[in-house]
Amino acid sequence: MSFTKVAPAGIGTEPGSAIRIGDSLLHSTGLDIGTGSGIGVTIRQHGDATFTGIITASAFFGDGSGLEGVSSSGIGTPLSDDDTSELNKVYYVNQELSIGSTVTVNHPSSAVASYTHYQDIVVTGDADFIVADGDTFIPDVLGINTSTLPNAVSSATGGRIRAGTITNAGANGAPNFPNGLTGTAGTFTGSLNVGGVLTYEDVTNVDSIGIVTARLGVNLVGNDLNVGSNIKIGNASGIITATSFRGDASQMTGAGLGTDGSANTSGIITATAFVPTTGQLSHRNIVINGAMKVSQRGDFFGNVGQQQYTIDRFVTLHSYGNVINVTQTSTSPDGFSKAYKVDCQVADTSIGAAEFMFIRYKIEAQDLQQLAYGTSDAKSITLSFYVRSTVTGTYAICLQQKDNSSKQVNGTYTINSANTWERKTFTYAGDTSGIINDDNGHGLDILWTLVAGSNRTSGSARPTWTAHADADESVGHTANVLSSTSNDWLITGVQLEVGSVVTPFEHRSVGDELRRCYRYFQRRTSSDNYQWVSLVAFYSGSEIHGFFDHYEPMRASPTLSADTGSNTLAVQRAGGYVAWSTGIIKNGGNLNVTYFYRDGVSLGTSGQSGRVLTWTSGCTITLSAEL
Amino acid sequence: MAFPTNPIYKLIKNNFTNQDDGVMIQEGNILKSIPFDDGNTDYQEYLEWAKTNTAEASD
Repeated sequence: MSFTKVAPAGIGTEPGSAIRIGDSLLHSTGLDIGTGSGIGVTIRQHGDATFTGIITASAFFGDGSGLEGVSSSGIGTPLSDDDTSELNKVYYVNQELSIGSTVTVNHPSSAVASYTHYQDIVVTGDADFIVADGDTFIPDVLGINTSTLPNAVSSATGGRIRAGTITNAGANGAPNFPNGLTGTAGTFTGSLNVGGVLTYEDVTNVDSIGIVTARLGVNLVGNDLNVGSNIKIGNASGIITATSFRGDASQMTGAGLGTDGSANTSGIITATAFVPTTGQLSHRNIVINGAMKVSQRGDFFGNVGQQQYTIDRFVTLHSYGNVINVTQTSTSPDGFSKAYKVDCQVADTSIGAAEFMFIRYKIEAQDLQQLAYGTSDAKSITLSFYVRSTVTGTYAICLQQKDNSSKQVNGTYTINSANTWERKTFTYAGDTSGIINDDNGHGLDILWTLVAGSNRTSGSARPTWTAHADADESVGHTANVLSSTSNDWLITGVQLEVGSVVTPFEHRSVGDELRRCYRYFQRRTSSDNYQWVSLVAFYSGSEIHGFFDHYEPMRASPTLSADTGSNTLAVQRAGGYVAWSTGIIKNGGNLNVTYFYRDGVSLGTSGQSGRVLTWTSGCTITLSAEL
Repeated sequence: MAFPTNPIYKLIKNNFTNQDDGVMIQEGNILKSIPFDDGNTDYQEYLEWAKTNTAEASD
């Protein structure tokens, strides 16, 4: 406190810091200012002071508990100095308490806590705001910014300490939050150790660039576990257990599951039942004699004609003269005993545009009804076969629907290595618009191209069923089996099955295959002479009648073919025999039986019986209902 | 019955019905007797031939 003037006379100064009133020191007598008690300023020697006016100062210090006329110490500043005004009872507190230099909050040990009603403690510059060890500091003790006024000590939730760094009191360690932390975000550059439960309810995401370890398991409640890369259990040797597994298992080993839904395993698959959704477990192979076991016509065919059946069910189709031989050969892949072999006998090194050579297999239409062609449920088919040749290169195959103007699909395969058996497979989607008639007619052709001029290669690849064009039949074919008389081409294990999955060749017994072949062709004589052909009766002295019971009902009433070589047949009856060279002639019949006769045979008696024999070796009598 | 030569097909008369029910054709040393059956491919071949030719009558 300073004085600008000292009056009246008699007031003097004592050398030093004291003030003298008359002969007395001012601090010994006090100072009365004014004309009567209660007016002006009275300062008593014992320390009391009375001010009848307003005391204005930059700050007041000390215990203000004895102050009167002040509603509450430290509550704030009244909005009005006029104590008659209601605003004198309304207070405000500035939001920020600025700490510009280092201070330490260290309340007496008798206190519970130190506090301030400022909401924000703003620590500026290099200053530190220190709360002494063991002490408690409460900002915004009034909780003015909360919806309800809290208990000042235990429940205050308002207030902020704003500082760039918060440390422990010694500025050498982490501060302690004995009752926890509440916030909206946090960043930790080091480790975060949680002694209790890290409650997940309020956690939206847990994001780690490293490894997340959960020693007692991970419990996902009601949602998915999405993994961007691999799952390894027990260093990839553990077990995954689940009610179901879904998705692409093509990379799994052991289970052998493929992307196409197939299961491939070198182990054993056991099940209560195996139920194919397409195709069938047995009799899958629509092709008869695909293993080339049956060859009723012989095992060698020289100078094979343009459309000549050789090995049962397989027929040539070519534009040449006598340029090939066909053999039923024992050269075959492992697991097979026979193959169809084409040998080039006359070379053609310059294929004309119109020249071609196919090996052909024809399928009866009513054996193809399971394909459901012409319906929305049309099935895929898969063709497979084993092939080898001296001529490497690209070969064509073609399938044609004969009930639909030879609508066709085609494809190519490559013989990669000369004289090496290779299995080739083709799958074609079903034809939803081409109906195959349910009859004994010609339903489907399989054509293997051996030679093709440009008239049959200049079209387009047809991976799906397309209207027939000659130019499409052998698109992509470049190999020429007739390029040298040393060439050959062999095929066996031909299989056509329903579905898009190629299965191993379905081997059938030779007896089974032979009975299937009998539907189309039956040889009624062996190659030896003096073999019994049929019982006969003499209709007249020179005309015999007999019949052939068919080994199997045939596809259609068959053509009867008989050898007319010199004395190939003979009839033996009581009294002798007679040979002739004019064969026998069909005289009616049906699918189950063929009747025949021969006139011009002498030495008989009407009503006499006898037997017809092959008189020379090699005599052939056949029944044919081939497609 | 003589072999058909030219024309190459000759009709066959059934001994019981006395009706033609097939045709025969000589191919090399083989005499073929072909029934009138629509499912028989040899018969279909004959029908194509018969569009522009006439078979020899049966005996």
